[in-house]
Amino acid sequence: MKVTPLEIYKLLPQTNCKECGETCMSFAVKLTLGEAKLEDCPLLTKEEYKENYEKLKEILKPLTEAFETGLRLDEEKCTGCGNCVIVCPANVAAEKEVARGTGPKGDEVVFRVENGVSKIINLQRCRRFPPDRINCRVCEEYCYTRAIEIF
Amino acid sequence: MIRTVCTGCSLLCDDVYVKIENGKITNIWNACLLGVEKIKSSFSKQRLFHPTLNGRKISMEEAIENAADVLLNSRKTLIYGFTNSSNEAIEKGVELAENLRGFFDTTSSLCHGYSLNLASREKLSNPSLEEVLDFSDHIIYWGANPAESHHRHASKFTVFPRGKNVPEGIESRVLTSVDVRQTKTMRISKHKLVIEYGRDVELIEAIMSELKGKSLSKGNIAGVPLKDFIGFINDLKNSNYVSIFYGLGVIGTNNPAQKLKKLFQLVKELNNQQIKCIALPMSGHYNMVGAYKVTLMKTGFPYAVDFSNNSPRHSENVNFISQLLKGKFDTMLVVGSDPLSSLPRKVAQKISKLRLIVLDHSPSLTASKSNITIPVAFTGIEAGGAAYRMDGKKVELTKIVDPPENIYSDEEVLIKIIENLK
Ligand code: SF4
Ligand code: SF4
Ligand code: SF4
Ligand code: SF4
Repeated sequence: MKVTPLEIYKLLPQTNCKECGETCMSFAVKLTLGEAKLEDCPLLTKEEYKENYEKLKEILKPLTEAFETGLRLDEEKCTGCGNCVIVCPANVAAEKEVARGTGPKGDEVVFRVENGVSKIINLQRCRRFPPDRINCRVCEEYCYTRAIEIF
Repeated sequence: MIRTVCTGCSLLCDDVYVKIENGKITNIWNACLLGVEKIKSSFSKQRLFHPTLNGRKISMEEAIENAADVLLNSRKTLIYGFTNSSNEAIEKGVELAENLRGFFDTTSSLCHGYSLNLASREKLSNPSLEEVLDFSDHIIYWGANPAESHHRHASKFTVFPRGKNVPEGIESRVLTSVDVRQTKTMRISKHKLVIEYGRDVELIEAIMSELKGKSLSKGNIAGVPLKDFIGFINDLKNSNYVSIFYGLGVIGTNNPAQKLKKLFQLVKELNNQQIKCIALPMSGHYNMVGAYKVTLMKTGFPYAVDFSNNSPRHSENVNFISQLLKGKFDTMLVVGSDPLSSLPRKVAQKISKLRLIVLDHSPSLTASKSNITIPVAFTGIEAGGAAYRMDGKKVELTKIVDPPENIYSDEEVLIKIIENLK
C-alpha cells in the first residue's frame, strides 16, 4: 500500500507556520519519503492535534518498518554474474538498457558490478523503500550464490 | 571510463568499462569475477616478461631466431593451441604450419570445435544470442553450469533480459537445468533434472517419446523422478522457442558423439513439432569458435590439418594425439595453451619429450618445461584483433593499454618467426 502526501497533508495542522522548516505540503512529502519525523512539527504534539497525530502515526507505521528492513550483499560470495543488476526493476527504471541485459554505465542504479562484485550504490532507490514500498525480493531470489539477503 | 570487450570467456561481453590512470587499470565495471581476474593478470608481476632458452634469459630477437631455427630443422612440427588467440593470430599459425609442412591443430578439436563440426554436418541452425534474448521462452542448460563457468550468460542474454517476445524477462521464460548433480544454476531454475551419470541419452529418448505421444510411466527416468519429468515435459510442449546450451557435461564424458547426435535429434524433433529449437555449445576459451572457424576458412577443415603434402589434408580418425602417440612429431609449438597440465598423462609424457616452443602471456607447466618460451601480450587488453563469440558473431577486441616493453602479440611473434624462416 502506498501512502500519498495528500493523505498526510489532510491530517496536518495546515497553518503553513514553517516551524518545521517547510510548508505543510512539502512536510507531508518529506514524511512519505521518510525524510522527516512527525515530531518535527511542534503543533502536532499539542493536545488539540492528538487524534490526528495518532492517525498519522498509524499511517506512517509500515513506512518506518520498511526502514528497519534492509538489504545486505556479501561481496565474498558474489561472482559478479549481474543477475541482481539486470533483474532489479529499479535498475531498469534508472537505465533503459539494463532491461536488455546491458550493464549500467551511470550512477543512478541500485546495484552495479565493480571489480567483479556487485556493489549497492543507491540503496534508497530499492523499491522496498519509500516512496514505492513494494515487497520486492527478486534480487535475493535470483542470486546464484545467495550473496543477497533481505531482512 | 573506456568501453572494452572482455576476453575472460567466449561471451566476449562488450559492455565492460575500465578506468585507466597512469597506464594502469584502476577500476572495472560490469565484468564478472572471471573477467576481472583475466584483466588483473595482465598487470600481475607473475606474468612472463622475458624470453628464455632452456631456462636462460635471452633477448626477443634471439628467441625468435632460435625458434625459427628449431622449426626449420625439425622433421615434423605440431602447431597447437589458439583458442586464446585472435583470428589474425590463428591465421598466422595456419600459415606457419603450411610453410613448415607441419600439422596444425587447435585446443577446440578436443572440445567444442568437435561439437560445432558435428552440428554443421547435421545442418543445425546457428542463431545469435540476440535472437535468443528476444524470442526464446525456454532455456535449457544441459551439462552446463553458467553460474560457475559463464557468469553473465543468463543476465546478459538468455534468462533475465526483457526481449520482444519475452517482455517480462525471467517471468516470461522457463529455465531448465539438466546435470548429474545439483548446480548453482539449478538454484534459479524452474526445472531441475538431476540425472544419473552418463544417462543423458535415456533422458533424451524419454523426452522424444513423450513428444511423439508415447508416455513412459516408469518410476523415474535416468534417475529423474517422474513428477519432475512430467512438469518439465508440460512446459516444453507449451514453449514457442527452446534454446539448449550444452557444456562439458555432454562432450567431456564417454562417447560424446552419441550424446550430441541424440541431442541434435531432439532439436530436430521439436522443430518438426512446430516448436522452434536451437542448440549451442558453451564454449569456454574466448576464441574457441574462432579456432574452429578460422581453420575451416583457411584450410577447408575444422582442425587436425596435415600439411605434409602440398595441399592440406584431414581425416576423421587422425588427430594430433594419434599422430603424437605414433611418434610422428619431434617439435611442438604451443600458442596460448597448457597441454602438459590439461591432457592425459600418457599424452603429456609424450609431449614433454619433444622440442617445445611456447608462446604465452602467463606461466604454465608447459611454459616451464619448454626449450624456448616467448612471452606475448594479452590480446584484448594490450593488443587488438578479432574473435568469434560463442554463437559465431564476430567481435572486434580492443587494445586499452600498452604491453610491457619489448613484448609483442602472438600474431606479431608468429609473423616474425615466419619472416625468419626465409
Ligand atoms: S510545523 Fe506543522 S503546521 Fe507548521 S508548517 Fe510545518 S507542518 Fe505545517
Ligand atoms: S528488492 Fe527489488 S527493487 Fe530492491 S534492490 Fe532488490 S530487486 Fe531491486
Ligand atoms: S546476483 Fe548475487 S552473485 Fe550475482 S552479481 Fe548479484 S550479488 Fe553477485
Ligand atoms: S561472462 Fe565472460 S566475457 Fe563476460 S565479463 Fe565474465 S568472463 Fe568476461
